[in-house]
Amino acid sequence: MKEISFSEFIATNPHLVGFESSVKMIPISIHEILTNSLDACESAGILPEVWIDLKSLDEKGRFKRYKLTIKDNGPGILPKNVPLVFGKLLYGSKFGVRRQSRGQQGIGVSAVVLISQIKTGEHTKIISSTDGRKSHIFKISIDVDRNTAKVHDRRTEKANGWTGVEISVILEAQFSSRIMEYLELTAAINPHLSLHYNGVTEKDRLEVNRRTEEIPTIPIETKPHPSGADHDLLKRLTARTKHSTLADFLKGEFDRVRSDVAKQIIDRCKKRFDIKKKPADLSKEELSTLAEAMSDVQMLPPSSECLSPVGEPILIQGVVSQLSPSFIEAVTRKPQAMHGQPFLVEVIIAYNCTTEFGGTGESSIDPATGVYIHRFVNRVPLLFSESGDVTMKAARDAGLSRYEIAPETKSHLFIHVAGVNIPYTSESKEAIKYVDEYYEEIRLAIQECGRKISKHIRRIKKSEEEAVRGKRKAIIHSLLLKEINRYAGRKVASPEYATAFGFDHCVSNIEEEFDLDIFRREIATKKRLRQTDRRATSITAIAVGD
Amino acid sequence: MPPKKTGGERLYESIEDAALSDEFEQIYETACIAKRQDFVRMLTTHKKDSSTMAMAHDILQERRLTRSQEQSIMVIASYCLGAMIRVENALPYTFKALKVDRASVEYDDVDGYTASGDTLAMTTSNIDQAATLAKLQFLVNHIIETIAANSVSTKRDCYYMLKNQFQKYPWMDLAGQGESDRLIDTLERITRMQRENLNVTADPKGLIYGNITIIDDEGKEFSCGEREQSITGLAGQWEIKKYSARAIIPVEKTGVFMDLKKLRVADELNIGLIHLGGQPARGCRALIKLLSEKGIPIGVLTDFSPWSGMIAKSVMSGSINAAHLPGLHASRAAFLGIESADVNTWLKDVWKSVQEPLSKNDLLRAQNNLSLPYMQDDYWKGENEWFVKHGRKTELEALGTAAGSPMKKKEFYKSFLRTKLRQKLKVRV
Repeated sequence: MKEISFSEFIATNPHLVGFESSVKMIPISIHEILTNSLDACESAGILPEVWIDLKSLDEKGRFKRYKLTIKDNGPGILPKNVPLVFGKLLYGSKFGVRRQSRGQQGIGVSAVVLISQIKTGEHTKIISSTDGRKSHIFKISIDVDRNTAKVHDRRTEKANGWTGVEISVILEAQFSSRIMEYLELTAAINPHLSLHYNGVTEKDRLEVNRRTEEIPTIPIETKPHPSGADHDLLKRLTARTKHSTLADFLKGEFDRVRSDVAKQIIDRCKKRFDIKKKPADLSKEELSTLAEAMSDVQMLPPSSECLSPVGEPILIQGVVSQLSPSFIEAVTRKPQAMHGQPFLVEVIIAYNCTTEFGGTGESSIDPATGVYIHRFVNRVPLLFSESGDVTMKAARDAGLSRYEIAPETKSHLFIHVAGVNIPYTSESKEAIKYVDEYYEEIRLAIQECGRKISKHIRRIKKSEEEAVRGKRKAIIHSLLLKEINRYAGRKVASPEYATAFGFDHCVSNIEEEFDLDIFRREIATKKRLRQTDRRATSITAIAVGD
Repeated sequence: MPPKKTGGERLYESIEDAALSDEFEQIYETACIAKRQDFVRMLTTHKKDSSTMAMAHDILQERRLTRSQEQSIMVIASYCLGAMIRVENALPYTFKALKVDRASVEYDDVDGYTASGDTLAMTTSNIDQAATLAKLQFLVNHIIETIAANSVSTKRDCYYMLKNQFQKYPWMDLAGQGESDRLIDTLERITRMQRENLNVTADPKGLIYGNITIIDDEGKEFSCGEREQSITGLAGQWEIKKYSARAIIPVEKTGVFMDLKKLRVADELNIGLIHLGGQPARGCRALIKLLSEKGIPIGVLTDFSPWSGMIAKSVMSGSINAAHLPGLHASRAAFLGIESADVNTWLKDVWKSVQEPLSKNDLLRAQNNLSLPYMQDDYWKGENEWFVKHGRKTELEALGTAAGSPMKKKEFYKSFLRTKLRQKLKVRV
């Protein structure tokens, strides 16, 4: 028996962090590094700009070796922290913090370093500058047994005003079109990001300039929301609380609990246990009763300061420029709580798109709905494991066809889940678990957006129908007049006829399309209608009204 | 003093007046009583070369036409003129088609069925109805041109012509021959004239035999005395030139028709025969009407069944769906067919072997007959009640059986017809 280090564990189980397939190697690596850059920039209040460079090195059988370099303009990492961030798994700043961020545990980027090292034996090069004067250059590998970094080379250079981090990593992988898809989707959901991608071939390039100068509001850490409180959470909170009464405990440790709400909760517990007890002294059963009472009481939804939704206008902006849809609608739902952890759902539907994302071929069409479905969590696109994702299930159950969002319409559905401690299916963060609260909220968001879209569709159909009605009227009357002309041996009707019957706007089209020539061209100079005949005039009025 | 107006001018003015107030029924009245010469003069003023109107003009000017044909052509020509006047003034127009269903017909023993005058309006301000009117106008042009070309058209003809014209336009294709048949029917209900007057004809059905000389629709004379002659769809346009037959017997069944001819029963009694072949065609009914109008007694010889009652009555009293069309029934005709009273007289010896049970359909017919307006008299009420009560029927062929043997048939038929003609029509042969 021996204790194993987490590095060793990941090294033997790379699929747990998403590295099981050589096709996923590059997209996942980009994802891990890019999300760190974005999180860092946003929390430092910097508008992010990222340069990504992918070069093919050499071929080795089925696989190629690639050099991936990603550079950002973030705040940089202090030199003493560099080995920890890149060389130690489970080292992070975001774990357990109740606010929205892309990264969560502190595994991602060090896992990239680890995988590179396992597959190629190469060291990862990191350049970091925090002050713009000096940049520190590291060559790092991971000591798997001890879960610590080994620094192989370390020197400094002039930074020339640049701050940020640059990572170069050698990967053994298969090239994948999903790299482009990932980058395009990232740019779409992060309109404040400027992205420069320089890929292996001439065509494999992407330049996206930021479409907004606004940095997303930095989420603020919040307390748990009572509606999602369960026994486990209460047990941990009661154990460490400094409050000695139940009311203070509720008000002090939970989001949205004011005196009146606290009183309601306590009233519900009154008959079940002694409410004068210190929170820390509550028994297992009593905590369960309390949890039940807390989820029963009506209160405001979780505060959204801990979340950073993209917002409808910016969502739309990000997508329209890429896809040029006929119309587009977005919905940002109110925050909800799952086990006291707030989350919210945003949905965009881009209807009838004339262009496509690079890299998103027919393969990204969901076979069940016939719609392109793009999943995002905390502004990060999810590319893999869609079958196990609650988002996918909710999207399929939302009944898109009811809103006439059908396969032939080339529609794209974007679902963004922003939340704290997202319940991913695995550490690779490729999919969200099936959780009722998420399922329900995603489904409702899609349906709400679907209703907005179907309004557009109905409006368009109506105007199409009107055009068709006009055309039909023109054809029918033209054929009637044609036969009357044949009987009379001359053109009987003047263009006034078409005006009176309300199809004058279609006449020239119909005459051309069906090769008809039915109206007298001269304007009737002689008024044939006799003065005495009032009745006939009133009939004209009826005809016009038809 | 202004110059005196000609008949043609007055005619046009009254049509124009009616048209400007969208009163096509008034146009109908005007056209029905118009003098042919006036009408021709009016068309002379308004026609343009090679137009359908010019063709109508030529037909009215040159052709040998019956009064009904003349009227039919004047009615549709006036309607077209009315439509032109409306269209020229950018106004919608409304045709009114007579309704012919159980609720909108009246019955009278002499006049038979007549339409009560309820109408269904079709106006060009309604787009669906405008589509029907466009097709109707095409049909009218087609019909006039067909007559001008000395030809006839069948319903099938009309269907192909309409289809060829409208299929290429969206929303205008025909829904099968059903739609074109309905258009022809609508035209009849608008003009209140038989389509046969406009040379829209059906297949010939029915035969005539006897001492009668006829001038047909092309002016050719023929006699029906040497052999039986076919009754065409246009028989309503025929003329009875001379006859010596004492009575005409329309016969439902082929067998009995042939017997009466071959056994020389018809010749020896000097009666004419008409073969109906089940439900009679319109040509048949029109010819019977013409013969009846000449004063020849008509006695209809049919089976003894609820359906045969209807066949006989349609010859004698017309039918609901042709209530708007005059000239399709002979109200003075009598029923000579087998009746309930014959069961115990003529058929007494053989009744047990010649009777057949009524089918479900027959029984239903008998029950419905009880409420039909033209079967409300005592005689027909009695007959239909007999059917309902006894659930039996028999056919004309029973007479041959009742005769005993083929050798005795001739005498049996002779005495049967003599007796019936004397009883029902007071005719001695």
